[in-house]
Amino acid sequence: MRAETLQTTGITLDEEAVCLVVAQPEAPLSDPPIPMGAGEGSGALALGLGLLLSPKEPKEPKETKRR
Amino acid sequence: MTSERSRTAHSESADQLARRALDALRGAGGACVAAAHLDAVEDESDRPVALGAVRVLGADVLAPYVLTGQDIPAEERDALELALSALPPVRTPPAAPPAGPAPAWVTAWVTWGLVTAYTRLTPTDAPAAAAALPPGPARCDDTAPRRAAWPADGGRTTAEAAGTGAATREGLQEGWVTWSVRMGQLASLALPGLDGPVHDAARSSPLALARGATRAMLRRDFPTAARIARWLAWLHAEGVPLPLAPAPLTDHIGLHGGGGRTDLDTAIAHRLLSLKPV
Repeated sequence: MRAETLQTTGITLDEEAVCLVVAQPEAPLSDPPIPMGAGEGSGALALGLGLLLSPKEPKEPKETKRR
Repeated sequence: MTSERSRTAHSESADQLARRALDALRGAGGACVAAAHLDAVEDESDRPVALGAVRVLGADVLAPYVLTGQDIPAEERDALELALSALPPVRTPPAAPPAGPAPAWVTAWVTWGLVTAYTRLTPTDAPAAAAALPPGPARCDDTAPRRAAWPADGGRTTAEAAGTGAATREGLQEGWVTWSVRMGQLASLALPGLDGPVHDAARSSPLALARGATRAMLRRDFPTAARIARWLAWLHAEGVPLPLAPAPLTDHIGLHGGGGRTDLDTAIAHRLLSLKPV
């Protein structure tokens, strides 16, 4: 990358530092264990997260038994 | 070569500025964001870093004004003009990654967002600096291996085929991991009133954004998750059907937090989700 500083208005900005902070990379963590192929558990993981994040659908009221 | 110390100083200053923007958005701070940030500088040698932080946040500095309809105070305009003149927008933005350098290309887009939002908020008093529209991002292929990046025509980029030497957005495709992380870096563009090739890319790949947000959540990388979730919130405000519900996702990220910029991303996403679909 071009390491350049500009001096207009008498103020010097570190352009390279600005660029690097703007394009902040993702955290250096390992990827989640999502298998690539079908039938290797990926469906279960996706379903689990889907259940966590999906909006709840309203349930029908239970019928109460009358004696 | 920039030093790690300079990079850390810019990152910390950007985080402080994001907190000021968040306070202004919540009505808890003053009406100024960038001007207040510059006024708080005690040592004059720190002023360039504070101005650099304005350029790091881009249009997010203006989010309180965009989302609340408040007028920009005169001293805020002066601060923005100073930040733009101290590092003028590039005249010829670089090619989009993976063909071009990602940091410079992302910065060109963030600067375009700042200048465009500023111009929209002050139509009678346009900023002195103009920002050229950078090349659009590579397309995302939802069916591709998640980290793939290759020329769409199978061998050469469109530009290489034409002999121009610079790749175009039509010439490249990426897998959803790389693509969604890069869209996250452009999250400051996910604001009402901004529209362009990056927004078209978001509209065309909600599945990739949903996958990217999900992956970031599973990795517990909440800053990245907040940035990508903001695009999902923006798409929701646009009325685009999404493969996952952005509201519980944003709520969940908000519970974890992750610094000023992440909190600001989450607050803006909440605001976008409260907007009626277009």
